[in-house]
Amino acid sequence: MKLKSLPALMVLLCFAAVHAQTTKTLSVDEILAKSFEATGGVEKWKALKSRTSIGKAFFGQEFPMSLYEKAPNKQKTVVNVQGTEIIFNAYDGTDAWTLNPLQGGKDPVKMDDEQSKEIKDEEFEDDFIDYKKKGHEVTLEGTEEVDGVKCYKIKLVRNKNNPKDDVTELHYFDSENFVTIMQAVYIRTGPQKGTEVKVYLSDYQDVNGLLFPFSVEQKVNGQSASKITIEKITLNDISDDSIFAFPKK
Amino acid sequence: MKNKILILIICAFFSAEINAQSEMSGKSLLGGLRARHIGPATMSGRIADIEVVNRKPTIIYVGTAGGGVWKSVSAGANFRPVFDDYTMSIGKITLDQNHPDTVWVGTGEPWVRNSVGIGTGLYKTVNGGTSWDFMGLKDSEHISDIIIHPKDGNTVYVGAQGHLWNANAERGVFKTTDGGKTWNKVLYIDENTGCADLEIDPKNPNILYAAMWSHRRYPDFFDSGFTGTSGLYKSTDGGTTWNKIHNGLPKTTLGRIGIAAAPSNPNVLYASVEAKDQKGLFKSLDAGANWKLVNSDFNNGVRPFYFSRIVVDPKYDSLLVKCAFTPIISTDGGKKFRAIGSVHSDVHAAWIDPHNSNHILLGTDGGVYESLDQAYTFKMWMNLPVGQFYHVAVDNETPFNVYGGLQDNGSWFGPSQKPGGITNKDWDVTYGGDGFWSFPHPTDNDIVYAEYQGGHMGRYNKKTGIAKDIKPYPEKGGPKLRFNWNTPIVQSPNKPDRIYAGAQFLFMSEDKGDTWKRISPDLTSNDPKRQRQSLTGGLSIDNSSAENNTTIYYIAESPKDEKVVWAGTDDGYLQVTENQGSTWMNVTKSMIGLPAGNWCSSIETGHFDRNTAYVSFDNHRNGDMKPYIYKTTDMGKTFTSIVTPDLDGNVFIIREDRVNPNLLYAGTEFGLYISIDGGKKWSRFENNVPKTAVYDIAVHPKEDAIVLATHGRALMIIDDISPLRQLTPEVMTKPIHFFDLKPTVLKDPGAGGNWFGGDGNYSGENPSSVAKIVYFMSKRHTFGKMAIEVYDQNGTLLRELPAGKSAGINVVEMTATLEKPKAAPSENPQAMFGTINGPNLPAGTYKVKVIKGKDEYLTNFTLKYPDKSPYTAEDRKAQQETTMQLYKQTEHLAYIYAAQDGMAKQAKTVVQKNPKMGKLVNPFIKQVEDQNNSLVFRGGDFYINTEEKLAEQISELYGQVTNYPGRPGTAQVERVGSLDEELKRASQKFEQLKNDQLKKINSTLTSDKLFEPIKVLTEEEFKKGESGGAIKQKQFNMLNWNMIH
Repeated sequence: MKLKSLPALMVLLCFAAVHAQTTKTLSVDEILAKSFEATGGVEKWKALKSRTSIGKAFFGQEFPMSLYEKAPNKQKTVVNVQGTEIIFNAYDGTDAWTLNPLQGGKDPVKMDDEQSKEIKDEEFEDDFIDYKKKGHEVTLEGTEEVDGVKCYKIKLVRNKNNPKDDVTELHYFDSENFVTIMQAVYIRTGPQKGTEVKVYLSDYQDVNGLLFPFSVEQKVNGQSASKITIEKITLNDISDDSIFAFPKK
Repeated sequence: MKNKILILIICAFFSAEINAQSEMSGKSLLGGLRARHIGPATMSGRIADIEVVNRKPTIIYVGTAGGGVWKSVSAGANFRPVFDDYTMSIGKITLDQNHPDTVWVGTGEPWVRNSVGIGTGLYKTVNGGTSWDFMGLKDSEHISDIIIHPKDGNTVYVGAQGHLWNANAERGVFKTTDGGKTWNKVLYIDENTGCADLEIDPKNPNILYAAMWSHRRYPDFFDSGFTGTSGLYKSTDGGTTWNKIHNGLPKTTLGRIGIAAAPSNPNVLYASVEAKDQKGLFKSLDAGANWKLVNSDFNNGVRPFYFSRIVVDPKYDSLLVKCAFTPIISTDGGKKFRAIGSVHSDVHAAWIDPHNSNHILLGTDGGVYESLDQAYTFKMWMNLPVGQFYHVAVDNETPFNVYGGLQDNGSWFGPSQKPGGITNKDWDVTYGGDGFWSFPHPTDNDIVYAEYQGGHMGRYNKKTGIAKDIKPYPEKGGPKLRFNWNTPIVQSPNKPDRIYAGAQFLFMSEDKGDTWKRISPDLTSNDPKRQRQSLTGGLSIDNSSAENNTTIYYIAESPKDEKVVWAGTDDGYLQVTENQGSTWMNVTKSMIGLPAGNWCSSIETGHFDRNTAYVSFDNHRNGDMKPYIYKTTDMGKTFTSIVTPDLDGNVFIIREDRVNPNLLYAGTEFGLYISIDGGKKWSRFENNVPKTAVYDIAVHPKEDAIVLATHGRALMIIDDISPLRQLTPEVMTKPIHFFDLKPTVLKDPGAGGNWFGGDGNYSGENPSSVAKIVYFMSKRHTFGKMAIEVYDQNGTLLRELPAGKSAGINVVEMTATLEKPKAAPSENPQAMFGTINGPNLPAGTYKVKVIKGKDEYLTNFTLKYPDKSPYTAEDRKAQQETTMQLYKQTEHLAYIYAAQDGMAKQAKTVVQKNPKMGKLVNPFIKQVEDQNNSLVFRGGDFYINTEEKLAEQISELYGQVTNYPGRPGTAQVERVGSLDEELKRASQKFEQLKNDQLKKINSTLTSDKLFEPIKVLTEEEFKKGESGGAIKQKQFNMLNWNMIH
């Protein structure tokens, strides 16, 4: 699978680059289609049902971290601080929860509705796949330079039909090779609500024919807030959902 | 392996593509550098408007004179700016009370003092300020009011005050019925008359009132009343037709009018009316049909252009606040007023809580104040850093201090950094009034020069806290001196005791201002038509010195030749002397394309050549917002314009870098601009510098920092501009280029920091004190791995870091420590945090490898200890050695714990599978667990149930020793020894468990081939393991103590 798909992928990317130079205007759907093509193909993305990412988070010092995700919406982020595992957040499809001894206590705690809004809304499948069916609105807002790269700026409004829970994000696709360079998301709860967080993606590498960013940096107001380096990604490897479940006493 | 190669091929393909691209934008080029804001907020700044969500009064928007829109969702406890990508001079904020996330902002402050900013139209957000859309009226310049129809959010009325400095047609009352897509100008008088205030009937939205104001500013004069077309109008058909409602108002020419309807009783209207006579507060009891003067107290008539707003309590029609020099409040419908004390003077905005009439907010020249007792006492919100600095200076202390003067907020100095953040209490005031130039004596840091408006200068002594008047006085029999509002008082770059001051004549003092020598004739046009300050104001005389004209506005002595002095005037002259004033040359005419009568806003004398100078002109007071910057290299004989279309807004300041003559800085109405090629191309510096007016820039004489004086967002520092000094076109063609950086001075932990101060106080950002790796990349890195490795001089890998990937300048920061030790999982939080920091790296030079795909690029960085430090190199070496002993102890103990834990777990599995094995294995499990329980505290709650076992004891000492950069105490060193002995005992016990007992068990387990032997983790495996710390074995020999300087 790997070996078969990669040369094809390369050709696609080269084609995309040449194509971008000759074509003046692309529609938002054309851009998204090219992005899926460039990163492995939409069918392959649809076939992806779970993912485990192991890496390191940098906050001055480095901390091992693991991210477990499974369709449709389960996830768990674990950070290891000096031998103690902190479950930064987890969602099992019913409850969003956290286990953070740094804030006192060894017991997992369910997040309240406000806190759990973001994690509950997060779907495993890419929002741009069948976005119309999902009730999302996607618009092209022209081009903008990010990190010196000319990008297509695409606005995604999730749950457009439910104005109370709509969520706006901006996605910046490299206009030459169509991978995402940056995403702008907005803090949704608490006193910093509305603050823009820019998420920079790089170090794209192939995993079983799909391209994933292995480096993720978050910036707030131009200042680096966190950096994550992924060391290993495995796909469709989570069969047991119990790892997401709120632990029973 | 193949994957990687393929990706590299892809990358190579793309790099070929990109090299053909056009040159990089300034945003990317400069992107890695970032300004930090240091406030202060102790004096805050001018507030133009306050808007509150009626149903949820904890949500507050504050519109500032030059610092944009700030939002609080916590009733003022915290604020954050929500409008930083747009024009910073705010006129009016109005939110749709039915949909509070919909907020309209009109830019261009309506309180049009001499230093007011420039607006660029209307903006709207529908998501509470997260994003904004431009809604038109771009040329309105100042927007006084916005009213949203109470039942239809798509119908909006806007009061456009219009251009201040010239005539324009985009003013009057505008109406939209489609949410701002299209606008109709529904009330227009003429190109000199704008709308200064709008009101809507609180019960009948078809009824509107509009205060129309004819006014004009000139560089030397203000005229309120102007063409005589001011008036008060009423519409009863939603703005289609309008009629004057002047019955009872003064019959003479009118000026600025403020109008307010009582929300609880639409027939009750109040109007503050400016007129030659009979000015004051008028009241109507019949919705404007008839008016009566009810109060003419000073504060009901003072300075109408600056204060005219009336706010009526939503519940009681007789309770009202009049914004004024001293704000006043009436509870009897305007018959009598009480002066409101304890707030900053000059109040422009007020809000009365619809649920609680005792709860009042005021927006002043010095921030926002809140009262809960109907304006008897007030608390200031000390978290809005929106001061309007005019000038800025720095000293040579370590860390350096910053000095400057502000609009209506005196002159201050404060530190550029402070442990715990630069807080309001860290700032000291030196002089009052409106502050402008303020700077320290270059060699005696106790002396600070400062001034207030109109040339009142003082020399302040930090030791005594007293300032001495040092103003030059008119010569005996000589003419009266004309000083600008913002009078130049300037330090000589060559002689520490020499300062200059400018009236119409240039004065020089060689003794810090005690004695002055006039060294020029009148350098201005001395045009009597521009000397009308005693008549300025129009209907209300406003002789504050704000319109003093035909004065010297800027002075600069050449650092290359003390006899070369430049002077620029506010009436358009640029003069230079090469002999310290014996003769002067007016070189104004050499600047081709410069409109006459233009204001010389700054002069920068060349740092590399006595014949070179840069000069900026600001013509916005003639209605011309274009930038003007010229350069001469022949002492003013000829000039070249260095303005390009990249520059936006009138220019306040031009600076040449002191190291790289091609590096220029310019401050305009709309931000900071930088050129790296001597002015051929300019780029706006966007990273954390909003579009605020940059009035002055100080290039630090020794450090690589520049400091910005902004007119609305206080002070900002860009700490390290050394990459810009090294950026050349040649550098920009390389795939990657490392910049030479000064050694990073390691910061020893020090006293200070904050106690539990809660919210509500601003804290300025400190500089980053970590090591940096700074490089330029011509192309962004997107595909394949890119990372940074840091090595010591012996080539031992110390750390791995994520790399910066952007095209342009990348700044990668690294905490100057080793990675933290891998520690056992203690449930004592102190122990957990005790080992959370790695040991400090010793001073020295470190190698850096940037790995980008298959390519590797090498550089290095140097760490050094502070020059003034109480700790010797030997002290530090002792500290590091002790730290490393504890580091090794921490990791070794963590290993023993993990290995024993693994043995116990495997042994338990054996018993689970075959309970019969329990007899043999259970005693072993117990011994292992007992040993582990004696090493690490488990079973706590991470808070109050905390016990100390060996791991916690080591961790505590590790934390203590790491935190103190000097020699560890004898008690500490002895403690390390005793802990080491205990650890050795534990280690022996572990060996014994592993070698004796486990061997026996394993032989039994394997003899009947039912079980795999219980395996023991090796120390190497443990250190490579994914969970826990992240240390590599090879780091252990890394510290090379010879590197210590």
